[in-house]
Formats: sequence, structure tokens, C-alpha cells
Amino acid sequence: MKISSTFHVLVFLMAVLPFSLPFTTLAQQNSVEAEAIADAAADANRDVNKPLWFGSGCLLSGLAFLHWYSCLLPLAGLAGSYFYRPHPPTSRLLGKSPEYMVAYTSAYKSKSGNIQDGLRQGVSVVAL
Amino acid sequence: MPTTPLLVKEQMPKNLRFSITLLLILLLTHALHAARLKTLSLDFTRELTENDKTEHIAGILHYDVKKSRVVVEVTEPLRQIMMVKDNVLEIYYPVEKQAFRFISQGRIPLPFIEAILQSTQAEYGLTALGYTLNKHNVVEEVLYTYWKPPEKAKDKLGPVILGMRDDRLISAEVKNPKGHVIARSRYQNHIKIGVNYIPMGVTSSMYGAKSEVLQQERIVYSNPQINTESPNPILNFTIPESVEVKEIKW
Repeated sequence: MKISSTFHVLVFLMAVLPFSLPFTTLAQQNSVEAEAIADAAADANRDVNKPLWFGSGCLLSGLAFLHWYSCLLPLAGLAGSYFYRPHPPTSRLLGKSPEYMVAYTSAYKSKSGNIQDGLRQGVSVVAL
Repeated sequence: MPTTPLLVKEQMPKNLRFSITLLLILLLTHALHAARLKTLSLDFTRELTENDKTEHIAGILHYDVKKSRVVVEVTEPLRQIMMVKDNVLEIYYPVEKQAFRFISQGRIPLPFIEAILQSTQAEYGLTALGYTLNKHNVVEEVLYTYWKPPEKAKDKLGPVILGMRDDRLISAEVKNPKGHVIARSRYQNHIKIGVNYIPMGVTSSMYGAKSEVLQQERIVYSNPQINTESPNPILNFTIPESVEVKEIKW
């Protein structure tokens, strides 16, 4: 019995298919992580209130300043999240996968920390 | 000589008695209508557009006023339970059996419900934040009130403009200290809970430095359940002990 070349091609494809699945999953996971990191960077840039941190740098008592500032937080609920929020962005994490959340929180903390450090250093240079 | 109640009743004209009874009924009806909010459950859908991408989320929001606890059950696009109380946010994935606990330095604003709580406060909580009424005007039956930020924060916060019609908040506009609009919200389809009107539809847009739209959000609430008699078990939900909780300090 003669086996056609089409049959060989199909057998080959069937054999390769299971090996390609992990790569597809990995690609999807990477895309979720990439999206989370991009969102976190954009949110950190937007959320960190630069004048606020300039203020905290000058006062050398950022926490006290933040506590005073936290009284303004309820306004975020009235008309959206418009001010810097020293708390997890509940709205952003809503309906997101665990993978997204892990990547987002890590990237957000890192990015917002970098921005705040940069601003504090800027203040110190001005003070000198 | 002091008059006895019986004598007062006898002397009182019939129509006056009827008027007093009617007034009492009216007061009682108002008191019942203005019953305090204890628990609230709402179905919601949220549509968020950002960077030319739109995501849809649907679920149920539960709120216990006394415990200040909010539980959000997400049903689409995946199953997720989010619980917020004070400075702790817990997120549980019932399908994946994964859980996260965020511990924040400050109080975590309650998702969604903050806008509803705000609408129950005098001047929508603006005076409590140090804002003062600057001016007002009426345009096409809409009362616009202009609120200026507290003096201490005027270089960080900008003015807020609220639009009201028939005791309902219909719009809010937030500006930055330079006077550029950074966000606008529209409130629609109000229902009356107690003495307050709660919007069942909220549309918000956030703007960038060049007035470009950064984010658009549309939330639609439906099926409100207010002060239900049977206790809602989801409001007492806790993450199963068998699930390991990843703790994140924020």
C-alpha cells in the first residue's frame, strides 16, 4: 500500500503540535506580563504627584505630609482617581488574572519608587 | 385652670384633627423613605477604554455600611473576589485557588462605592476636604457650583465644578492647579436611596496635559438590593484556609 506525501505531512504536523502548545502559552503569558508592566509604568507616572513629593523632600517628613494628604483621597471616588494614591489601585486590578497582578504590582512599586527617588534627589540638589 | 387632653380633643375642630393626622402620616412616610442605608448590592458592568483597547468587566458589588466592608464579585472576564476593609485589600481567585493580600499604609478607598458614599455626604464631601464654595451659576436649569481647594493645597489641587439638577449630581469636573481639565464625570439614571439620589450610570474621562483623552470609563449599575432582610453570606466571605495567601506590603 502506498502512503501519500500528504499523509506524511499531516503526521508530522500532528507530532509537532503538542510541542508548540507550551510556546503558545508562554507567548500569551509574556504578553500579559508586558501589558501589566506597560500599564504599571503609565499609572506610576500619572499617579505620583510630583509637587507632593517635592514637598515631602523639603519637609523631610514625607509620611506626615502623606497622612495629611490622604484626607483628600475620598475625592478620587467622586470623579475618578485623579490624585496620587499611596494604596493599591483596586480599580486597575479588577478583573485581571493573577499573572497580571503579580507583574503589575512589582512593576508599579519599582517605577513609582524610581520617580520618587529621582524627585527627592532633585530637591536635595536644589537645597545644596 | 389647666385644660385636659380630652377637652382639647373635644374642642379641636374635625378638619384640624384630619390635618394633624395627615401631617403625621406624611412625616412617618418620609422617615421610612429616608431609612438609613445598611447594606447594598448592585450588579455592575464596567467598560474601560485606554490606548485604543476596551475591556469589559461584569460582576456584583456588595457593601456593608456598618462594617465598612466592600466585596466585589467579578464574573467576567474571569472569576475574582475582591474584598476591601480599611487598609487591607484581599483578592481571591476561586478557580485558580490563588489569593493575595495587600496591606497599605493608608486607608484603601472602596472600589465603586466611594462615589455612592460621596453622594450621601453634604456638598459631596468637598467641605470635609477643605474645599470652599467660590461661586455658582445656573445654566439651562443646571446649578453649577465652583469649589476652590484649601489654601494649603492650592499648588497641588485645582478647582472642582459640580453640576446639579433637581437635587441630583449630574456632572463633576476636576481641574489641575493651572486650570486645565484633568477629569470629567457624568452621572445618570439616579435612584433614590434614603434621602439621596444615587447615579446608576457613571461615565468618566481622564485627560492628559494636552487635553488628550487618556482613559474613558463607563460603569452601569443595575438590580439594586437595599437593606435586604436575609444576611448576605458573601459579605462575610473569607479566603479558605487551604489557600496560601501571598502578602504584599504597599
